[in-house]
Amino acid sequence: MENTEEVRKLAKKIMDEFISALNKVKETSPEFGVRRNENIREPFENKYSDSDFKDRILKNAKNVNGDFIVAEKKKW
Amino acid sequence: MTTKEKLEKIKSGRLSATENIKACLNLIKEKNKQINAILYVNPSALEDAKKADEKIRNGNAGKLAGLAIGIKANINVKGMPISCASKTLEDYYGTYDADVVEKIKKEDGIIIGILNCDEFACGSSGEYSAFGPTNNPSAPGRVPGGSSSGSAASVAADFCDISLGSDTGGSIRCPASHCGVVGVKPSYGRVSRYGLIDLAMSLDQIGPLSNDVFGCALMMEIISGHSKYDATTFEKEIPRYTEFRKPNKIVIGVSKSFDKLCSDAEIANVINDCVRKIAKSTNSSIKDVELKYVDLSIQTYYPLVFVEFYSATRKFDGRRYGKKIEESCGREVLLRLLGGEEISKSEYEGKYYRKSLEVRELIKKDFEKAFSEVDIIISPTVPMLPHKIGAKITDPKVMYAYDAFTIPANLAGFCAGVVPCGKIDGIPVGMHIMAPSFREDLMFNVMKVAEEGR
Repeated sequence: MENTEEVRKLAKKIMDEFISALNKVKETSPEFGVRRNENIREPFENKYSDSDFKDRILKNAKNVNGDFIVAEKKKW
Repeated sequence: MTTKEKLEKIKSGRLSATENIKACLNLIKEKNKQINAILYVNPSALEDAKKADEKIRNGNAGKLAGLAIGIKANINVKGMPISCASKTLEDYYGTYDADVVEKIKKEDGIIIGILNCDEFACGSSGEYSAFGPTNNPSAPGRVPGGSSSGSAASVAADFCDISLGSDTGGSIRCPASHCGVVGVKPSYGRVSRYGLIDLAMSLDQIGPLSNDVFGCALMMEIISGHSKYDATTFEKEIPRYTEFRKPNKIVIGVSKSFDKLCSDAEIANVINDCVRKIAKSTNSSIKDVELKYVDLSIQTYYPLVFVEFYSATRKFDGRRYGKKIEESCGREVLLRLLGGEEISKSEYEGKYYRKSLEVRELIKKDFEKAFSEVDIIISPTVPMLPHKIGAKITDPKVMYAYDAFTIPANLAGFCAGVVPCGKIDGIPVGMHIMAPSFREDLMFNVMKVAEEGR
């Protein structure tokens, strides 16, 4: 029986082989999602958001501290 | 006896539900040790059959009254062991009925038992169950195909009339082909996945297997539809699939791209013969369609499956459900988990999962374009005959190749079904019929023609 590290290496090797085949594809679909260069979403005003969403969530929470929900494991 | 004939006999009182269930239980007792298709037999099956008989007598029985239904071990049935054929969940009992199971019970189908499969649906041969491999009743000594190995084998062995499997990349269709039965992967969003222990949620669908097209069509009429518990299901009308209409003058698509994927020329010949017969019988034409990226389906599919499976199994941490998965699973499951963990790392952002999603979109577009030129597309189901149980296949990629023809339907979300269409050296070969999303009606009509022509 192989050890876990050997299985991990094999899995990575298979993935690398598969991705190198996919990387030969240069065509992209115009409908394919938005590409972000950074994984940080800036705060923004969303005019479509539900205005009382925050109030309902806070009301439903078991413990609230000001504007925050106090979430304890297995409590809520 | 066909499923339709059996149902008519049950409805008319010439065969009771109790007699049918007794016959299935006797066969299970006699043969399951060799076939290993059933992991758990429902101790209340006979009791349920008696209740069905009473309903039949009173004239208020459901559409499945008296039929024996087997359920794959990754679909929740309340009070039954839903182990996913894994040591990880061997002591887990379903606490609720999956949407599909609830619908079957409502129509008085009798749950005969829980069926073997590859562990967590990870496999294409039926050899990766923690409770031993399933034997192929139609080709003894050979694998039945996977992952819904028990679902196909139990139907082929007459342990049940209809079974449910799940299909992420061919897990219903591959075993249906190898065992010589009919199997259907519905369009994504046609059948609720609520209660299915998922392998890859963007690809999984629950579907039926039966000895005939009627059985699968009937089950699809029952399990299809929107569910408030599965946001990916659609509010769409469910056609009467069992009212088959013979197609006339349709365009049947085939593709030269399939030729290089099929390692066995004899399989290709059997399929081509059947395509010609269907075309002749329906006054249809055959057209070659271009599928530019179909040969990259396997490479596109597995990174998605590895990542989604890794994500889906984080709940199996040994605290609430069974044992910790990484410490109790088999090699193929571990390979997918570790691979998924590895390529999900933030340092690889976009390199694996995102690239696979991009190519998935191209494959989808390929098929959408093809379906704008033809009504259906036909291919072999599996590029090779089932290997002998225990044959040493150490390279996972060899096993992954079993799903080369079936994966595109999952990547693109359209429906596909398998009908037995011949034998090579006594081993069944199934024909793979693909139709656009939510055109199961057309798919069943062509499957029926194929069934009648064999």
